[in-house]
Amino acid sequence: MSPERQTPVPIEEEMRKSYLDYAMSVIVGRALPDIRDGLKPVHRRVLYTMNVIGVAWNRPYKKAARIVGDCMGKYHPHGDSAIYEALVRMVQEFSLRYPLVDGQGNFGSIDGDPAAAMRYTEARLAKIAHEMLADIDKDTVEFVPNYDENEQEPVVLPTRIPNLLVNGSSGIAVGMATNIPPHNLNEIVDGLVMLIDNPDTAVDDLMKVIPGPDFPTRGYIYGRAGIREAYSTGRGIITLRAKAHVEKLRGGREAIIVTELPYQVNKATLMEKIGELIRDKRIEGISERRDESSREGIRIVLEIGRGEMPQIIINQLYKHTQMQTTFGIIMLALVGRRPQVVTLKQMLTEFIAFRREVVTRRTKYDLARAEEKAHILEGLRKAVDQLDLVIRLIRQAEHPEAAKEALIRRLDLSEIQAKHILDMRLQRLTQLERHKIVEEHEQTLALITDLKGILSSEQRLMGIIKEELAALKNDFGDERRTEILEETTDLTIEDLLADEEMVVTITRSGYIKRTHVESYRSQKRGGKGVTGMETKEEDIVEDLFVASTHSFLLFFTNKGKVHWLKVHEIPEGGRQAKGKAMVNVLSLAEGEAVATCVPVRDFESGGYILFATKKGTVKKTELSQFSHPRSGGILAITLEAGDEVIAARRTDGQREVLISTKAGLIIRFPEEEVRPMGRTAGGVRGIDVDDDDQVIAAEVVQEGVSVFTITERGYGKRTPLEEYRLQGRGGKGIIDIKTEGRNGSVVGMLQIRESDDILAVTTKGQMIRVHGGDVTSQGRNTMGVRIIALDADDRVGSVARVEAEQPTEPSS
Amino acid sequence: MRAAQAREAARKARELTRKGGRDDEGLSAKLADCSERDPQFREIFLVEGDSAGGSAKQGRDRKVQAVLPLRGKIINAEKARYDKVLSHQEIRLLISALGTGIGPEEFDIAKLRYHKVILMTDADVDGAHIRTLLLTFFFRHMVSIIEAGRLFIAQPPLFKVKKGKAERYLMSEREMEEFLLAQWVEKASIKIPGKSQPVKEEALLEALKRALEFRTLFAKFARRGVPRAILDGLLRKKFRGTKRGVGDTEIFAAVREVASELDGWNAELVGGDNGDAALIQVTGPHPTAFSPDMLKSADYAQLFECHGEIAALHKGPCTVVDDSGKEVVTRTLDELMEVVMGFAKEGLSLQRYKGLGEMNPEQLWETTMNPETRTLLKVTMDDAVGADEIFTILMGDAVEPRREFIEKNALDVVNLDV
Repeated sequence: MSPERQTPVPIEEEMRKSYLDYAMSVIVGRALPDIRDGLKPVHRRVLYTMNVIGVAWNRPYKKAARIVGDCMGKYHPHGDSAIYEALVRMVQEFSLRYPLVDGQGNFGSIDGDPAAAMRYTEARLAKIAHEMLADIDKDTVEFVPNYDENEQEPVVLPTRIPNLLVNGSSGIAVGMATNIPPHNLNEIVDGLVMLIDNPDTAVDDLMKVIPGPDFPTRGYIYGRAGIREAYSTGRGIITLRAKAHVEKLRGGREAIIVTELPYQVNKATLMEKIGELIRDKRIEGISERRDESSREGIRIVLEIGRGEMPQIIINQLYKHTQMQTTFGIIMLALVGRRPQVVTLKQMLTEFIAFRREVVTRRTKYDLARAEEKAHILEGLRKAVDQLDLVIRLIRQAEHPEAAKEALIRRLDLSEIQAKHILDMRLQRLTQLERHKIVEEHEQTLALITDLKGILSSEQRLMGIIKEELAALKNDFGDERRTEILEETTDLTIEDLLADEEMVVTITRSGYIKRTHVESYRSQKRGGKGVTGMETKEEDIVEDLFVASTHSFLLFFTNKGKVHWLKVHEIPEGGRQAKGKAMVNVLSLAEGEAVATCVPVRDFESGGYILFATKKGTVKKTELSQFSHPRSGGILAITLEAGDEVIAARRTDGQREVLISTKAGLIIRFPEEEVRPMGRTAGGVRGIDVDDDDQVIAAEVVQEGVSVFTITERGYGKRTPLEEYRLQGRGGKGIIDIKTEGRNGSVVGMLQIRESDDILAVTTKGQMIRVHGGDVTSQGRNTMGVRIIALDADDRVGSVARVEAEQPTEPSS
Repeated sequence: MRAAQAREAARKARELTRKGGRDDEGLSAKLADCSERDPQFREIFLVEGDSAGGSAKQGRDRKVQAVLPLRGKIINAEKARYDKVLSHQEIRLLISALGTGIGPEEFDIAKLRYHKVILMTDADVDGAHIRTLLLTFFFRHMVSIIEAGRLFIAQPPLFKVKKGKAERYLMSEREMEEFLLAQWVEKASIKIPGKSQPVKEEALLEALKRALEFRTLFAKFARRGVPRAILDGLLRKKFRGTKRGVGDTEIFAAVREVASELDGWNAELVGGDNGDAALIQVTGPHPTAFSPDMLKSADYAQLFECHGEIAALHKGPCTVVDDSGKEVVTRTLDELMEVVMGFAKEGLSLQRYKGLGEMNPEQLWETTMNPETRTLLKVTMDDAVGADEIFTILMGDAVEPRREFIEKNALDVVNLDV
């Protein structure tokens, strides 16, 4: 093989060069819009091609394939699909706020359906697009040779429309991206006029006329902070929301109706996502979903079950689906071929500067044409003034050239003037026509004076720009579509909810619900009870307490974590309702179950949370340490292996602690013996529990209360607190109730007053409410009396206290 | 856990490429292999896209040249996980075709079936991108092929220029300009004041080439913030920034002097103390700032030299005489070059190649594939650390360093395809 030519090239150099070629070409020539006309090269070339072909708004449509073909062959030597996609986007009224192309045929939908192939569709320029191309033949913009130097193409369109702002732009280049939202034409025009009148206008003043983006798909913008940030720095994040309302359907059922979506949200994908959430039970309460969209617009119908709160479901939809999206504004555009992040004011200022250039160039062009015309008319005037001489000169001339020379010499004309006189039709020599020449000449001279005046007066120039902007507003301006909501004035759900006492029940398999406290009748001791909750098979009610709808609930789990919820966020159900799975409400880890709930009105009121664990450990931590839990929960106590949190109680630090075990033992010690510790601490010994025993309940108490104890077979008693002597922390405890024979193990221990009611729930879901005073008061170390009549295979699941008066301090 | 999964997936992917080998249905359908058996004489062209693959297959020498068309943009080996890279269809084809295997244990360069692996992509920006992607794959996964000097880059032409009977394939715009001038000087001349004889032929060509060079360099300075008027003034005054002993102060003094002679211009020196670089700020019709280092660079020295050589053309007025006898008087160098290029381009037909598929098979053979006429770029690696850094910046996950790189080097772009 003959030696061939090889040039060595270091790999890093080749990479650098090739990558830069690619990156810069994408940045400057593909993905980013020009700040002046707001177009990327492909869009500009499509529009220019359409202008050249002459598919104006009032002419018949032409096949899209012809436009694409012409554009590709003449100006844009890249893939046809990229060109067609650019054309399609300019047709879609859900993509562009003011579509630039008028399409005939299927140009895709908000469901993400693609446009029909370009051999089917037809297109012509939209009326507004002519404003982008106006005066293009008046030397208003620079033209450069195309890729094969056979054609000329404009580097920018002499647009009258502030297209970059009104239609927006988005594109991913290399190492940078742009995302400019669309705006309302009227508002942008007002902003431009404001800035022309006072170039020092501040962004806050501009925002009085340009309050924010305006999307073709309507919807809401939620909050103004992001808008201001974007307008003043070029970057900001705004939140977009779908518009939804609640309608009453036939038969009294309610449905959430979604009529407007956030910009760039695909409706089909959204529907799919909602379906998925319903299937996975992440959102409950939607019984049916339908897409009823039609010619009249978008209409998604989400029927909701009875007793569900539509507002809560809407909020969940906002949280989990694209019914709420964020739009990261990056106002990156090419300023003189350089990518630059610009502020709103810069954008407007650049546009004004561009308009000034275009109008100046146009006026100069018109002036040059007018001067040419005036020159010719001047010649004609001279000719008609000396008509007889002219005729004589022409008749005497041997040939046209001689006639021309004679005219030039005798009438003191230029060559052009002479030529025009020779080309003149005889009918112009009539009286009327002669008069017209004079008139036209005067008019042209006046026009020249006028044009010169424009060029020499900044004020007039700017006046023209303003007039043209006003005309745009008149011809194409429309109402704002997207509503901007203030974040601060948005009503919170608490504002809409009454402050009510609720019974919250939690089952062992993790179902939770809240029920109005009035739903439970107070019964006499020994009654059968009413059905408290329709549990699933094999499920039992494990926890039950009373709290107000506006309270926070701290969910302390067996794993020692704490989760956070508001009572009203718990699904409401009737007395017999099953409730909702807790995984829908809290994000619990595997094997994690709620051990105890503490309702908290607010975190500023001070106090502590006291924990008791299965193995007898106690720990006290300030309440304020739990005021900022995260969605996945935060650590509340560090547990030793195999240990679990049994109870967490609120306390003011001045009380006494009672801890009961399954085997009927109880310990009472002053709270001061447990010093406050940090949130993640492990705690100290509270009661010395035998290996086969475990803690089942703990209370913080004050003098004067009674201790209510109940066993699994439904027997229990009430014993004055004083019967239990005060011990030191960490002891074995003393006997509370006998657990042998008919009683069985202890399942619950509560502090009560005579006026309080006690709610007990059995493992089969029976529930009874007993008045505290009706429970027999007995001494310590006794058998107790029958509290609830149980079927042979039923057991008491748990007990709770309902205070007689409205509690000032909620407790369980 | 994740790492183990990735390892397992990579193993499977490796097995696939190995099992496939030469008998892989997919490969034999895609690869147009050559008849020579000795790897030493075999070469393989990795071609961008099927439309170019067709031209290459028809144009090649099928004894020693194999063609493997790769469709679309291949996966970024810097960003993607190892197993993802290996399971990418085009990469699998490539590994099978090369025959070396993949991975630290299996890769064996002795098994390389072709001793020249030639990347042949379109001469447009997407071609450049695909080239970077392929280089990334070779650098990260088959670096020994580069070390052994077996990786090459084919250079397809950018233009075909036809003028009269002369027809040429050209690699760059500069080359095209020089070609046009060479054609033109055969019949034209330029009259320069102070010279009795018009300049023509060789001497004229040399002068015009220098003028081209001067204009390129001059534009480069202008792009970097040195105002044309200031630069022009410095050159006219024969200011030598590269001379020994010339520092920021002297450069600034010279700039200020030039500025003071121009209407409405002024210059100011800022920075230069406690570590931040000195900057000359120029106020005037177009306010800019530039580093005095610009006037100490080798580029300035070259610019200075060019300026001296073409001083006569620069000064004017020159008379350009075209072969048709047409004469045009010019006053500036820019004007002169415009007129000259205008004449030179008359009767020219220019075809700009955007894709390899635009060429007939014979044209592709003649310009790019024929060992007798082609010029290959041989990929070398002297600075492995530097190369590693470049790949990390350009192809890696982090966007920020990439943007910085682009911003810093934006002015060095050679081919801008808009």
